Amino acid sequence: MAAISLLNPKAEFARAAQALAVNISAAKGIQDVMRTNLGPKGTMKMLVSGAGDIKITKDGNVLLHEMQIQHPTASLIARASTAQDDVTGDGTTSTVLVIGELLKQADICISEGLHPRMLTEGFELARIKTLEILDSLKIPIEPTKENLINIARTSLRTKVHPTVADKLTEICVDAVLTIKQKDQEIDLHMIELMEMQHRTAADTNLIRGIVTDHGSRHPDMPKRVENAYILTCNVSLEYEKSEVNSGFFYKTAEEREKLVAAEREFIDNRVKKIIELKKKLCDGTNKSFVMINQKGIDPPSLDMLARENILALRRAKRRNMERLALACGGTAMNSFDDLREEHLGWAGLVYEHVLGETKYTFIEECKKPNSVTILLKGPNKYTLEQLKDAVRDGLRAIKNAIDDGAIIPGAGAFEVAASQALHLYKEKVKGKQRLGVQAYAEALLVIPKTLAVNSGFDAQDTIVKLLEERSTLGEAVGLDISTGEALKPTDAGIYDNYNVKKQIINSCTIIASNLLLVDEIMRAGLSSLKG
Amino acid sequence: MTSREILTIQLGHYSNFIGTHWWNIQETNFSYDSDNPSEINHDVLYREGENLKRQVTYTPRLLLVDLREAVGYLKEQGTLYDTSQSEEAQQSLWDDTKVEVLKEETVNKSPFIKSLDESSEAQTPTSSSLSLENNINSWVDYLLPRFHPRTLNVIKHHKHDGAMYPFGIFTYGRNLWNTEQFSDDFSERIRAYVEECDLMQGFQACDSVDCFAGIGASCMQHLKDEYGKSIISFPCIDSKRTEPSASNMIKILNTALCWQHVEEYTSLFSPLCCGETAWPQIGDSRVFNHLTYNSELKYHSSALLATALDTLTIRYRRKEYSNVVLSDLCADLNKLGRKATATSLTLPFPMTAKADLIDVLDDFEGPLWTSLTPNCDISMDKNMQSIVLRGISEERLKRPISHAMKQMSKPAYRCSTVHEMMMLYLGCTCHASATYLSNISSPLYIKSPYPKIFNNNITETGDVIGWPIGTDVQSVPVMAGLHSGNDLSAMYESLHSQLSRIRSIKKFHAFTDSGLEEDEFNECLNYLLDCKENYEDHYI
Repeated sequence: MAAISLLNPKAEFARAAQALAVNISAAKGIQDVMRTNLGPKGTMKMLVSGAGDIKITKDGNVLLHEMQIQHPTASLIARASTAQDDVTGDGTTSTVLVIGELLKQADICISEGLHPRMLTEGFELARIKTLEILDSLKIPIEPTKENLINIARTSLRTKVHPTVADKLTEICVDAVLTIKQKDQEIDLHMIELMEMQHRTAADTNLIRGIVTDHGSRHPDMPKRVENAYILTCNVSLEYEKSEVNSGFFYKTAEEREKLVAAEREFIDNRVKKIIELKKKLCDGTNKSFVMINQKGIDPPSLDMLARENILALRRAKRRNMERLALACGGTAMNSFDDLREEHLGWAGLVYEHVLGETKYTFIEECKKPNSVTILLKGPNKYTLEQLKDAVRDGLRAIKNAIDDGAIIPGAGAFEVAASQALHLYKEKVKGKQRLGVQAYAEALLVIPKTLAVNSGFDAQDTIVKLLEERSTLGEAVGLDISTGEALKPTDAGIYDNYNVKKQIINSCTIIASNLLLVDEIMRAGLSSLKG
Repeated sequence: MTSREILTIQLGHYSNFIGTHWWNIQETNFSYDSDNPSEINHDVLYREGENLKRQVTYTPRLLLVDLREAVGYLKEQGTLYDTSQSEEAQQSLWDDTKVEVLKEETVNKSPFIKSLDESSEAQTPTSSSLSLENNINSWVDYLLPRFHPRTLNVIKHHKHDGAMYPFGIFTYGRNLWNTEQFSDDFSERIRAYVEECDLMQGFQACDSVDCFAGIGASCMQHLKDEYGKSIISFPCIDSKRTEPSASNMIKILNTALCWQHVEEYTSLFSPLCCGETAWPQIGDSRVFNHLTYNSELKYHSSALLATALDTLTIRYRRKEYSNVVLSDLCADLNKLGRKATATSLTLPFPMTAKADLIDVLDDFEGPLWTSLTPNCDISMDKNMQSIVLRGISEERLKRPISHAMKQMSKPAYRCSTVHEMMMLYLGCTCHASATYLSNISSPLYIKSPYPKIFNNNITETGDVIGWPIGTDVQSVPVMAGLHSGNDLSAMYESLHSQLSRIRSIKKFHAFTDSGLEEDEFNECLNYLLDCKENYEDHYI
């Protein structure tokens, strides 16, 4: 009897072997769910909710969220996978597979009487060795378009159909290269993903400028202007009654109206300042004036602006203000005192596109587009979601490659190499820890094995072929998913991110070790918490 | 004249029950008769739009949040903006043979919703055959309006009754808001709604006092920072009784934290509950003389709260005075740090059949209103109050001089409008009070799925008679109000004394684990005392 049950007879508990069995079976369970998703030939999962909502995905992270994992161990693994996504944006499926496989291999050893502590020490040794191998496989790259296209394609082809993937690859790489500024870290927030429920995924394109999902709210404002000054500001142009004056103090409605009129003038003066500047800069030239405000603009102000042929947008996204300054130049203004020409940005073309009740405003032909927009198109919501997930992962992969300054060969090449090297290393390890290293070496092979199975080949056959090939050639070999033979990933242009693999190795080892060392699971306490 | 828009936000399961009743009531009170237009400006709470098939839509300007299980058959995107499946190019982004379909069991619609689907506009569903009380598990089971795709937000991370991670802790909600995914998405939806509005007057929020209060608090902070408009909030507590247990303390802690944060960020708030007390346990249900309802049923209690909300918000939703806005209401009541107010409801406003308002008021005995704010009774005196009366037409004010008889001798006979007479009456009965009264002549129209809670001595038009008649009530006069007075110090005091029973929050792992610190807890205790003092006025 466990100690806890003396204190709380209602507590549920599982001990030692039983506890381990619970953890291992959970890890296997979640591995089984995710296994079929790995690689470009893996399956997609289409989740249909009770209400008929559709979601198509293979992103491990998304799946784990949607499936509402309730088992504590499984949800621990799921969180590791989520963390993987937060840090690197890729490798969520691999994380789940490797943790599951590590526990599976450990199960075999433990059932033969090995103490989990020995095993985890072996894992730790293996982890350090594996990181060494990873470093040795690193291929340093320059952030050129060709190099980046390879890595982005590898990531995207596992997420969407090859024809779409190739198109997205081009778009993603162009987007990142456009916003990349010398010696500065890449801020992916500067690439906006804008969805448009319209046409097909193949119409997705890159806009070197900004697209906003709102337009002018006045019928007389121009729908298309060229050579435009862009004023970005965060100044309220709507009259707001303050809460200071209680209604009890007014005798008549007229008295109130008077006060309103007086305060209204204050707003009008702000609008007049803009109009003044516009007249100074644009009148008599072919230039035009666009104003984009983060705060509101009320109908009387809109009227005044429309009369001057100024295109005004209200309630712009906070992030867009920063992006507008980057794309068009100029600075975002917080007040209109001392408003001058150098505060304004510039765009060659601004036009509006209406789709249903949503208006889109395109701001293009900017001077130095340091912020761009990827316009995602798809016939329905779930296609758009799928595209968005894919593009996001593609962008992350490119950013990772640039940050690392290196990539590693893909198609399972790393795992094969690491496994083989660990087998050699095992011989040097003394004591029972060696078994841990061996288990680790076996576990890593789950990635190429699963790739093979998902592509319709025999797992054992493939692994043997790959290991043979690796020892004879002495260089990285991966799996050719169309033939089932070995190939050189460098020839086929299949690359993975360095830090994705590094993160997988680190987090999987730690999680698996922690789970193995659990010898008692208990649940007690406030069970009526949900009340 | 442009209408001054309001964005409504409903957070949590119980507030969605209330919200659903509220939108249902509003839809019932739409007037399609152009000769007799509604006195209420519906554009304040509704928005006009156009879907991709170029059909005009009219949907609530609403954002709601609930857990996955609660929304049942509702599609996240709604049905109004669906593009039909057939014209869609069946182009997949993945090899079709490699798609694994995981289908959840289709959620069944309740009989009431089915009957709505079947009977198109031609015939209204007869609810007589359907017993709504037994068939309602969630608010979607009696939901009439259809939503804009932006409206519905589903939280997928937590299960409704999940044993593993129950979603019942204030700080959980706060943490959820802090996840980039949720707050980005939600604030983006708020922005999209606000962008459409020409000149919005503010936000009204209805949040359940559990983890959703945490989301609510963060959300209101965002609204205040970003938009600086008036915010009125109604934290609501389900009046279903539970066994006394440790979870009661958790509820009290949730409530106190909710009050504290809501107070900080909103312009005005009024707690709602159908029980007389909400802490330490749910007390007896509030008594209405002409109603019989079951406060254990969310479906019943939420209908009462929705009626109160619909009526008291008329002040800033009228067509006639479009300049009267939410900020006026807040300005009237939130002086001296008194942001909490008590909500009152008089349902039905007890007009006796064939009697005039002047006589009804004259014969009136007992309290004029029933409080819907827990642990707080509303006295008649020393209040700042905003009251809305609907359903008394000018014809029922008094009899013309030729038939006046005894009425002539009453001082109120010189009043020529309902507004004037009611103000006179309130001026005489409420000592040391300031009252803002709005009245409209159209009553509250009632239709299924509004629960049948009226006693059998209420006539079809909502009059009280002396004998049972047993008809379905079709319309009813209602009065509701917000009151700010020293009665609220009692609410704060009782909450403080309950909360101070918690010696240390270390016992409540779930709170400490999710980021509540001892200091914050102590601050909350002090806050309750401060507020209590704000409501004490020491008249000599």
